Amino acid sequence: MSAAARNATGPRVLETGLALAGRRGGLCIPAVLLGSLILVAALAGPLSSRVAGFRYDQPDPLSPLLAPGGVSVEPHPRSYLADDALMDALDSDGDDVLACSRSAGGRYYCPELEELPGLASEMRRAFEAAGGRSGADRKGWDAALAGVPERMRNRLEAAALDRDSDRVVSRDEWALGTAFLALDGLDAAGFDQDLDGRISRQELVGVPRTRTHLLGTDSLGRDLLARLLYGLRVSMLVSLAAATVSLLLGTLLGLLSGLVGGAADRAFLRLLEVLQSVPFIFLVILLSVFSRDVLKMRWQEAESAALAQAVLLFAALGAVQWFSLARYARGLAVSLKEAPFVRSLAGMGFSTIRLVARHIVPNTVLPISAYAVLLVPALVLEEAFLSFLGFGIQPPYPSLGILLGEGVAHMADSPLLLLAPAGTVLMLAWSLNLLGEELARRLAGQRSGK
Amino acid sequence: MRPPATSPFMSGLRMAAARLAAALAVLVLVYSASFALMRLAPGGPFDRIQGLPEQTLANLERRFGLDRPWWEQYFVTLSGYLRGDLGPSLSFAPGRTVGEVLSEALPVSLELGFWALLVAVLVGAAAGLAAGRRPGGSLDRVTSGISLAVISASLIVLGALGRELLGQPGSPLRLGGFDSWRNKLLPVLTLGISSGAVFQRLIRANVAQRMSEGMWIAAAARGVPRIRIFWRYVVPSALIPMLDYAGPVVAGILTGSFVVEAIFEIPGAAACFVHGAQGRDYTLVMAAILVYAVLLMLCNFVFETLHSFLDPRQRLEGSRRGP
Repeated sequence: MSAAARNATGPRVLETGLALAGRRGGLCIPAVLLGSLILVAALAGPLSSRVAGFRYDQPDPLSPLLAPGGVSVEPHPRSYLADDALMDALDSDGDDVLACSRSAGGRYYCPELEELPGLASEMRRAFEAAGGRSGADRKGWDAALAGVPERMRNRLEAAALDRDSDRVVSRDEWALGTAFLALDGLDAAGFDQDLDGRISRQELVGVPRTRTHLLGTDSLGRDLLARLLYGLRVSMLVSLAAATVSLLLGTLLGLLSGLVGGAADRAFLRLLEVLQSVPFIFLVILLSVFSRDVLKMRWQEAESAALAQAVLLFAALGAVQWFSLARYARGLAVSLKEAPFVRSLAGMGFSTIRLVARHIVPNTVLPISAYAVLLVPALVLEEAFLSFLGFGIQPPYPSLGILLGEGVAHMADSPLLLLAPAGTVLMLAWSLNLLGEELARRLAGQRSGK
Repeated sequence: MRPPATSPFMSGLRMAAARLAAALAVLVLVYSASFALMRLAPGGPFDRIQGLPEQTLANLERRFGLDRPWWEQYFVTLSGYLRGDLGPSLSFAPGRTVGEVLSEALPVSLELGFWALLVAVLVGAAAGLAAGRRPGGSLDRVTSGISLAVISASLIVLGALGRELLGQPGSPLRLGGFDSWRNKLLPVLTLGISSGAVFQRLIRANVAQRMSEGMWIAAAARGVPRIRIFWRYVVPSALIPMLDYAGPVVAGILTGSFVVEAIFEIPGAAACFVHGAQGRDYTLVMAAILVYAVLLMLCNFVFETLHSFLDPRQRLEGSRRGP
């Protein structure tokens, strides 16, 4: 092969490697903006629970009573937990006080508080048993109401469940009304301001409820926005971890092979070919099953076990994703090794180490980083994919894949549960892809002297 | 250093033998890795059965040879594979052999994969050629934008949207199973389009790069019609190298079939594997991995052979190799 032909392979390798480059110069700025926006949301840890106002792993105390599908859109009474109608409904003996007993741990037990919320969960169960799926399902609601004793029916109406008094509690009425009944999971002690063991009308009514779920809640009553922000962070974290592993392995091995050349290089190429036909996805899934149980035994605490497993798993995912990057890095190294400026430097007596460290490696940084940016969205999608199947991130951590899985399962109840994480994945992968392509395009343009 | 001159037949034979040896080595490695991962994991295939008396558990383990030392199990299973015996299913389908389970599930997955690949190639080639013919044109912007959106949206979202279509009243399509066009159409389209988007990008880039070469200007100047340049010269030279990417795309379809089988409730081999892995069905899981490894290698081999057969440059390169 003549020297000219060899030199021609340089830009070609570059261009094929960057083959994904499109021609969308104008979109670079929005891509950068979108990407950095998402990065900020993803990396600002404490921010996520502060923005949403809820933690990602704790159900809203009201959750057992929120409408099925979980999205609580409460137009006007949302800022107050209780009103006089609720007090009338709760106070079954009519003494204007909810009497409670205190346990040793300081928890309150108030029989009057148990009654209505208990009934509400009964109704929920009847609703689901009757095959009711979405909140507007009349048959389900009829079944739910049929199980309510006559005595309690009046109190349900008093609690403003059936606002338009048509004996059918619609979805909106349920969402509105059950907020008033939702004292089940609440610490009743919070209401007892004078600590006399009794909750008076003044203490109950007018307790402000300042937060609302901007995107609603998921099926377990957890705030969707908090989960989304936190999940974005988890997804970014593990895909960056995987991308780092993949980048290190691919670059080091690829450059080394390309620079050394000869039989080692040929063997390396053969190895890559062979490795590319191994169905690694199966092994990663097996590793996930394996590491989950082992780590669960090592760490009693579920959270640290889940985090350790996530990092391990995605490091492994990165460790089986470096083949095409290695091929690309090798191509770069080969073309640079033969580049005229390197040859002339070698002819001038520069040492090999100096050539590699000062002239070859620095020239690979930009193309490889352009390639690496394209690696991240692919790994974000891989994470989504594994977590969706139940082999990726483990609860209590949310991730985009977990949220997508929950969204698919509860799509009929509330499309937002799917649309919110789907939109986030789309934006994230899309902006990262555009960014990577734009980088690659600019680089290719620069190389060919445009 | 030139390799000693041999007849093309002999060198081809030697290449094939080397390939076979490498493939066998990879299979043994894959088998060992999956064996290790399965056996090192705590828990066993019978954990799901509630209230199993200890004696019964011991009997079950003896029945399936799980009480033997691990190296004995390793070789017993391996020799079973060599004889074509995939062993009994432990927890996924008790009482049946893995061979039976896979021979039911695998054709479903293969059919899904085949149609999906067909859709992917057709859609991807059409969109990629349309986009690459005039890079930067409106057709390019639209198709490339769509394909980027499809890739970014992920298969999960596409599948969920498809499933939503199924749920519409009056829709002739059905959910679950894989036995008529009613329940085949959407899974195939979902998987095919999402893989087709990858093809579109590859083909577009390749065609665009070819189109930018100066020789077409020369050809056009000499009076070769543009249509002929594009279809006769650019398209074949841009499409044939795509065979190199077919292997990874097939692997992607394989990966995607996990999601599609889960979303559309298709009783395929990927679904078998997922349930088997969760239930520690050692025999089923390892057999599924090996079967897929063989399939993937076969696919890669076929595409590579096809490539060198179709592309004269590949054959030339082989004979011109050397210093």
